[in-house]
Amino acid sequence: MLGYIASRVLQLLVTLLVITVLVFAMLRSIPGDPAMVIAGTEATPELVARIREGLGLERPLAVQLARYLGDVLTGDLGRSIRTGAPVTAEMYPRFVATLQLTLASLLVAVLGGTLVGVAAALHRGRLADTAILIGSLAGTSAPSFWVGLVLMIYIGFQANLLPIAGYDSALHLVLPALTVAVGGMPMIIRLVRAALMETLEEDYVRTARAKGLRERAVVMKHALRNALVPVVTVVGLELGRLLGGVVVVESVFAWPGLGRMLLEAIQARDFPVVQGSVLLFSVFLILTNFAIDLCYGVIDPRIRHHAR
Amino acid sequence: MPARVGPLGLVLHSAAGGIGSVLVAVTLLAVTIGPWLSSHEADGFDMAGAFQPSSARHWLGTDQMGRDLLVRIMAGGRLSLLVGLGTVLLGIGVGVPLGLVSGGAGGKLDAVIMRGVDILLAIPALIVALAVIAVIGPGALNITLAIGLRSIPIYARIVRAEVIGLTARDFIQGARALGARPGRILWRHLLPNLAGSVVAISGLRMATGILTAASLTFLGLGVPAGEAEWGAMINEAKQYIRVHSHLVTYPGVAIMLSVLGFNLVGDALQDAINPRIRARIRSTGTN
Amino acid sequence: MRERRMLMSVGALMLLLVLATPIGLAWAAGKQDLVVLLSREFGHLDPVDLQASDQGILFHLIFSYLYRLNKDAVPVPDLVESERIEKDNVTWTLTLKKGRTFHDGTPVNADAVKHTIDRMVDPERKAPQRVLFAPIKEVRVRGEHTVQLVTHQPFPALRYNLAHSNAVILSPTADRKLGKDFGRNPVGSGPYRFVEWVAGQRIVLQRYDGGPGPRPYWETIIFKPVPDTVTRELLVEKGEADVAVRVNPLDTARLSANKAVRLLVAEGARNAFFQLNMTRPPTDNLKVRQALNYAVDKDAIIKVVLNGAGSPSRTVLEKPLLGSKAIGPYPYDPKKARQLLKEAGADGATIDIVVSQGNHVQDAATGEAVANYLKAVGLKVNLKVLGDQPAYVELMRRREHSAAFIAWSPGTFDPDQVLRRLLWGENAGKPWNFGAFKDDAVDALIERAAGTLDPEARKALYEEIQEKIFAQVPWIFLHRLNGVSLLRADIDNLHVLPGVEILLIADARRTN
Repeated sequence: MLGYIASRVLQLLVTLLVITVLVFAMLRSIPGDPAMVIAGTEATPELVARIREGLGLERPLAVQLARYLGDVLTGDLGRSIRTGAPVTAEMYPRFVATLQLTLASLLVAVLGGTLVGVAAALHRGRLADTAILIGSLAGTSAPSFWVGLVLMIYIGFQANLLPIAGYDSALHLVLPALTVAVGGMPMIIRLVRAALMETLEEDYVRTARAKGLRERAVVMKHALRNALVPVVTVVGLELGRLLGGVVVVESVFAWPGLGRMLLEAIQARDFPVVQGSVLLFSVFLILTNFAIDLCYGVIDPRIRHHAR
Repeated sequence: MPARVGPLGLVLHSAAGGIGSVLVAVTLLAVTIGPWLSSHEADGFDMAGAFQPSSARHWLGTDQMGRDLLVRIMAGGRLSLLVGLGTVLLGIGVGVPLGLVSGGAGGKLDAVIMRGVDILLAIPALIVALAVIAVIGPGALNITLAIGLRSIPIYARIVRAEVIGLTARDFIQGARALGARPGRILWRHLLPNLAGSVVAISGLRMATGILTAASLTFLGLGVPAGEAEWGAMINEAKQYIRVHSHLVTYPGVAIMLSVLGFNLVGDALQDAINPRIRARIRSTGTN
Repeated sequence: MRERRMLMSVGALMLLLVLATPIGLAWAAGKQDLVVLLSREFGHLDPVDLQASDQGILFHLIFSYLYRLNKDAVPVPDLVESERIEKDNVTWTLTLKKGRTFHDGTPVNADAVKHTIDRMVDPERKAPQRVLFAPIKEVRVRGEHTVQLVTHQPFPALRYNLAHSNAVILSPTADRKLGKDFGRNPVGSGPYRFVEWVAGQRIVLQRYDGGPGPRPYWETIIFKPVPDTVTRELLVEKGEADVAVRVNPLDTARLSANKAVRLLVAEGARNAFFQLNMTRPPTDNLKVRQALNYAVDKDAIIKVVLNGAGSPSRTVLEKPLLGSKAIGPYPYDPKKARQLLKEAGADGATIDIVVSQGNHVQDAATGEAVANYLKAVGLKVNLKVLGDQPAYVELMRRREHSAAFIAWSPGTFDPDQVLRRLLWGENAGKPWNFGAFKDDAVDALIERAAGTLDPEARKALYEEIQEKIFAQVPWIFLHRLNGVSLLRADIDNLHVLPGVEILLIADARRTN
C-alpha cells in the first residue's frame, strides 16, 4: 500500500511538471502581450518594450521556464502582473469561495440526482421516467446563465426570498449553488438510472412477488451499490471541473471564485496568476482522482483484488 | 408466436424511442432545408425591422439585425449538430477505447493513460481553445476538436470505472475461467453493460458541447461572426434577455429538442442492445 | 452498511465545511452608506496606469488634484490656491492651499507635489500615464506651499493634464513606506480614505474628517465588482445596491418605467469609429474610404443597436475636446457608395473587419451591422469578432485588416493627445495609429498648435487640422457612445464627467 501511495505521489509530481510546462508554452504561443495590456492607450513601441523587459519577458523562453520552476519549488508563485500582489495571497480566498460553491452544489446534485434517478429507474418506461429524462436534458441544455437569471429574477427579485448576488452571507450561496447543481444533476440522474436498471431488471422482477418491503429494500441497496461506481466517478469529475471554478455562474452572481479570476487573468495575460491557478487546480484535480480511485476499492470489496 | 423483432422495431416499440425518432427526423429535415434557405433569408439584414415579435411573416419574430429567427434557427442547426455530434463522437471514439485499455490492463499502462487524462482535464478549456486557434486557426472543425479534447477524459474515466467494476464481477471471471478470448469477453459481456453509461452521458455531452462551443465563439474561435449557429445566437442575445427574451429562448429550445431527440433514440438503442431486455421483448412482445 | 456510513460522514463533512466557513463579512449598508457596482475589477489603485475607466471614480474620492474637472469638464483649482504663468511662458508658479493633510497625516505641500510628479515620470517605473506629466521638464520646490512647474515648451493645456483623473497627488510618506504595495493601499488627501480591499468582493472607503469644508456626506462607500450587466441592473432595481455603472442601453425603456430607479446619461462618452488601413488595398484608395462611409446607415445603428444612446460622430475630435468642429457626417447613400466603388475599380472587393466584443457597449453588434451594410453594397466582408482583448490588439498590430473598431475616450480633453495617438505621422503603423495615417501638412499643424498659447488661434488651428484630416477619410465615422448608469431614485446630485464616464460621487446625497 505504501508503495502504491509513493508511486502515485511521484506520478503527481511528474504530471504537475508536464502541466506547468504545457501551460507555460501555450500561454506564450497565444497572441497578446501583457505589456500592451498594461500600456493601454498610451502604448508606444518603446514603452511596451521596456515594460516587457521589466517583466522578464525578453529573456529566452527556456530561461524564463527554468526560473519559474525554480521559484515554484521554493513556494514562490510570483507576483500578479495586474495587481502586484503575490499570487498565493490572491488565490487563497478565491479558492475558498469556489470550494464553498462546489461543495454546496455537489451536495444538492448528488442527493437530488440520486433520489430522482432512483425514481426514474423504478418507474422505467412509464410517464414519470420519460418526464424525468426530458427534464434532466432540459437541465443541461439550458445555458447556466439563463438558469441563474431566472432564479435571480423570480426568487431573488420578484419573490424577494433570497439575495440576488454577491458574497455577503450564507444565504448568498443558495441561488448560485442551485444554478450549478441544475447543470450537474442530469448526469447523476441518468447514471443512477442506467446502473439501477441493470440490476433491477433481474432481481426486482424475481422478487416482484416477494413478500414484504424488506426484500425489496435489500434489492435496492444491492442495486444502488452498483450505481455507486459510475456516480462516484462522475462526482470526481464534477468536483474536478467545479474546483476550477464555474466562470459563467461566478460572473452572473458576482461570486468571487477561481473561475472568474482565471478568466480575468487570461484576458489580461497575467501569466503568473494563470500558471499559479492552473497549478493549484491541477493539484486538487489529481488528488481528487486519486481519492476516487481509492474509493473504488472501498465501494466494491471485490475490486481490491484487482491487480494494481 | 410473436414475430421476430428486428432492431428498428426495438427502437420504435417504446414511446420514448418513437418520439425520439420523430424529433431526430424533424431536426435533420429542418437542418437540411436550412442551408438552402439561408442563402437569402438567414442573411436578410434589415435594421428597421429588428426585434419584431412573432407575426405572419416571421413566425418567431426577428433578431437584433432584423433577420428571421426561425430561418436562422434552421440554418444554424447544421453547424450546431456538427459540433455537438462531433464532440461526442470524438469523446467516444478516443475515450472509450482508452478507458477499456486502462481499466482492463491496469498497472503501468493504466497509470500513464490516467495521468494523460488528468493533464487533459487540468488545463483550462479556455487556454486550450486559445492555443488551438493560435496554432491551427479558427473553424467549426477546430472548435469541435478543442471541445472534444475535454470530452475524452470524461468518457475514459467513466468507462474505466465500469470496466474495473465489471471485471471484478463473477460472470466475467466465469467467462475467463471457461477460456473465453478477451475479444469475445469485450463484445458479448463488457460492451453491452458499458453502453448504458456511455449512452446516458452522451446526450448530455452533446448539449454541453453545443453550449461550450457558444461560450468559446466569443473568442473568435469557431464559426465566423454573424453566421447562424445556435450557441452563438444565444451568446449574442444574452444581453437582450430582459427586453427580448425570445432571442435566447427559441435557440435554447432548439438545442434542447434536437438533443432530446438523439437522446431518446439512444436510450431506446441502449435497450435494444441490452440482451436481457431484448429477450424479454421477444418473448412477451412488450417492454 | 460501511458504505452508507462512509457516505453519510462525507456528506456531513461537506455540509459542515460549507456552513461553517464564514462567507464574506457583510458591511451592513445603512442610509449614510453608498453601494456602487462596478463592471470590472481592476488590479490596483496606483495612478501609474489606467486599467479601467472606473478607477477614475475612486481616484476622485481618495485623492486630491492640483486642478480637478468640474461637472462641465472644465479644470478648476483644487489644491491650487493661486497660479501664475511667468513671462517665459514655460514656468508655472503654483501656490498651494494651506492646512491640507493626507490621510496618514502628512502635510500636502510642494514636496508632495514634486514627489508625485517625479515618481510618475521616473524612467524605471515605466508608467504609461507618465504622458500626463511628460510636458513638464522640471519641478522646483520654492517654498513650503509654492511649487514651480517648468514645461519643455509653452503648454497651455497643462491644466487639463493636471486635472486628468490619474494626475492625483499622493502621500510621499505612504509611497516610501509601502513601495510596491501602494497600489493596494492608496493614501491621498481626498474626502474619502481607503479602508479595505477584499479582492473580487469589495473596496471600502470611509469619510475623512481632516479635510476642508463641510463633512463628507457618506459615511462609507462600498464598491463591488459585478461583471454581468443584467445582474447589476437587478441589484439596483431591488435595492441591494445604490448605483450601477454601465447598464445596457437597450434596457432603458424598461428601467425608465421603474419609479424606484433613475437613469444617468453621460453624453458622448466615447468616439466610436472604424480605423481604416491607409496602406492596404482596397482601403488605401480615397474613393473606397468615402464609399464605406456612404454605405453605412449610422442613424439606424444608433437607433437600433444603441437604442438611441448615442449621436452621430462628425469629426475626429468630438466634443468635449477643445476646438471640436462638426464637419461630417456622411449621409447614408448606398447608391453613391456603389458608384464610388465602381469608379475606384473596387466593387466586389474584400474588406476585412476586426471588432472586439464586450469591450465597449455594443461593439460586436455594431461591427456586425457595419459588415452587413457593406455587404449590401456588393462588397465581400470578412468579419472577425474577438472577445479576447489582447488578441484583438495583437490583430490590429499586425495590420492585416481593412477596418478595426476603436472607441476612444478623450483623456485629458486636449486634442493634441488624441491626435498624436491616433493620427500622427510619427506614430504611423504603431499603437494606436494602426491605420498608418500620415500627412506632413497635418503633422506640421499639430506641432504648431501644441505650442500656440492664444486660445482662439489654437482653436482655429485645430479646426483646420480636423478639416484636413476629414477630407482624407481615415475612418468610418460612426457615433459618440453615451454611457448610461443606473441609480436608486433617492440619490441626488450625482454627476457624470462628460466624455470620460466618471461618476462624481463626493457631492451626491440621499433625499428622504
